[in-house]
Amino acid sequence: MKYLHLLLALALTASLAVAADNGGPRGKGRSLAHVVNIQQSGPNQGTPTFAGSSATFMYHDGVSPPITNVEPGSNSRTACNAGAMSWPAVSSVSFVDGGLTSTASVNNSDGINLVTFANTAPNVSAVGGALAVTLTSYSIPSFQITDCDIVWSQSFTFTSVGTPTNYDIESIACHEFGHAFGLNHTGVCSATMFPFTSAGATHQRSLALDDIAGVNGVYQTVENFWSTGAVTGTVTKSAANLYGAHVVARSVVDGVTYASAISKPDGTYLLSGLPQGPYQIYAEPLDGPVGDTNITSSFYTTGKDSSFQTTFHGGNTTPTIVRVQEAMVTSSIDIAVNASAPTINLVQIGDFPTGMGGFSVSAGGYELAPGATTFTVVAGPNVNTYSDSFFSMSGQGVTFGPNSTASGTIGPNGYKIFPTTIAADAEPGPRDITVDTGSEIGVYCGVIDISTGGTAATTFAFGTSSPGSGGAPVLGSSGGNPTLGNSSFQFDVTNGVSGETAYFFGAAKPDYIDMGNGVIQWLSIPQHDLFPSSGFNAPVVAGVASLSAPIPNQMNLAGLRVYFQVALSDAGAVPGLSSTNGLVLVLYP
Amino acid sequence: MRARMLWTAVVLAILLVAGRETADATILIKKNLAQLAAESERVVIAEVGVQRGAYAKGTRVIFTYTQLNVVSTLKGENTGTLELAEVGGTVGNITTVVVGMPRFAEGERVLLFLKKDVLGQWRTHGCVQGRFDVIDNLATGERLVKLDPAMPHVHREYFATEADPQPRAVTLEEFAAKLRELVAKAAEKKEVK
Repeated sequence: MKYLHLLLALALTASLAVAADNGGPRGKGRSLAHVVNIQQSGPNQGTPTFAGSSATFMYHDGVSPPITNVEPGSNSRTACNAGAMSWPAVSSVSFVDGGLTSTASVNNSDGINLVTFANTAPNVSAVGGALAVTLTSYSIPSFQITDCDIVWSQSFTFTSVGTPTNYDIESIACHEFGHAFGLNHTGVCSATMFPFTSAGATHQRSLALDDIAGVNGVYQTVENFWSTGAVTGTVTKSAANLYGAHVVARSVVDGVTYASAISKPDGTYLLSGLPQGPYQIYAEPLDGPVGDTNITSSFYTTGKDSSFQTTFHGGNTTPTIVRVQEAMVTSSIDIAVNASAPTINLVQIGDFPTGMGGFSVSAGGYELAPGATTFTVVAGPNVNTYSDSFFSMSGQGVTFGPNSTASGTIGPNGYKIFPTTIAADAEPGPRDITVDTGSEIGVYCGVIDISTGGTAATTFAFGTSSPGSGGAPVLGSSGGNPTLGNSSFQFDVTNGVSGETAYFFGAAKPDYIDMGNGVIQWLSIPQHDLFPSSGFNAPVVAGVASLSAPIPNQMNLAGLRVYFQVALSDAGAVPGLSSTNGLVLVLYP
Repeated sequence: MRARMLWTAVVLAILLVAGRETADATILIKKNLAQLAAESERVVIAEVGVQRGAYAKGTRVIFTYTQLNVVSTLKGENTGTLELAEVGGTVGNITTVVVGMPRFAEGERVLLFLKKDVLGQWRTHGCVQGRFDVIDNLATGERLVKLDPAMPHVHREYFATEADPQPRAVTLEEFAAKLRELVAKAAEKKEVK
């Protein structure tokens, strides 16, 4: 009997001495992720930051003038603080509630970082037609923030008590403090820094992976530095550098959108904050729901281009997988986009839980919890004319369609409605909805965010196998889910060659190493010894090899993700072996 | 059988009520071309001139003031130049940054919907929704107004066709004609009131 805890021990004995085969050590400078509110042109480039990475904000006391744009019963200060505190929880910035002040109006030079709901002429002028704005003032060339004010509109009513027709203070505060902490807007539709919201919406209270990557680009934690990697490259169109492409990293393991960036005037981009593993990288036009005008800051330069089709690194037919390693930058991940004008443009989405009665659509994404069963409305020009088979949602644990239940037009857009189920064991994080006509791909980036909270043990496969003389071997499991204490759990490999041997490997993290001849190592480097002497192997009988792997009944393993793969000796295969897909075990009681 | 009937009922219910788009509130108050035309005090085509940063009069809020050299006026008073204000900019060694505000570069040609704010400054009405690039089609010599594909609610209902459901530009002539029509309609409504 082989004990899984032995494999886990092996997997967790990870060294930080990671090989650098495609990039030098990652500098600890500021990230250039698009979400960072960075000056990208001119003689002075940098990101405004608070001195000592600590921000103290004061609140207008509401005495003169009295606050009239907050729903009675709401506590705007508590809700704002809750929104602000989301950022220190995941980065090295800190936030202090500095108390109340009689200062009511925005002032870029009084040194008071102010949150104000007051109806004064300077505030009304500053906020314009927005729900709220953040005015960050800093000195050049130090880029140290000297003043930062958050001003709330008088044209809307804000709430902290959940009234669906009013605007949620905590969500908007979380977004505005994101600006204060150096972030611009993002094209990931379910992220806090997505530039739109709706009355009653609360999902922007919680940060998406893209938000976390962004704030760590400015106020990085040591842990984030060592536990994530980055990808950089250049986007070109017709051999010229392309400015303004939305570049996105999607995990091959779980289909989650981890981070995005905007290509700079020289076409370069940098995606940071990526956990180690294999990714697909694509560039999409900023043609809705987020446009380049939504990402314009004071540093305005002309020449952004949104007239191209969504293109994956390596091509849309078979995207090239990109390896991301901890504390490393993977460079030269260039994308030459299809220069044809895009025709697919998904711009609106709606959650339609009952599937009956009216529905509504909006630009922004939303959260769905593991276990949710709902209907998803997808809208955009001509969407109702696309075949159902063109639509998909990325990643593990989701069922989308396959058949639509209705279609039609809504305003200038067509729509389709798809039954959608989020499995109890779905991995958390934003998922893309894709339309692939065969000749063009359109992506609605990170539009549905599967919230955390799933606590179901599960397994799911990722990656591909290398073909052997018995066919493409497949790694799966039997004996139930990997619940803690499940003594019946076992790994199964099919399509092996009888008489040969299967070697089982586990690792704490995924990886992507092309060993040649179609063999891909999907596990992290510390496990790359393919023939351990400790004997986690099994004979292949009638094409099948199984390895009993009782799951330890240890509560401290709850929530752990462990990655497995099997190599099979195969005299008939060119390298003398074949390899399976990767398999993730998510352990829970 | 019962399950199939239920499913049929669900689909019918969907079909009967589909097509309702809610206010779809965003961080901006959404405005279409008709609203922009009706609510603006001026609509101009202008070339962007010099810019300067300064505190707005009577405040300590930094704005960028942009000189607009007006080429033609589609609504409102016709003056040769005007000064446009947008929040954020640089005064001395202090820069104030505000994400998502309309920005301009010297030499650009733009079509703008303008309205005075509470401080008496000309502002782009509807924020970025009221700003359109005017460009030349070098192949045909036509002057075009660019339509932002990310803000279809502003323009698509007026310019989309079956052949081109998501137009990215229309001729300035076509845009101006539609605008005059909308301005006239808005004026008629005002008179009736």
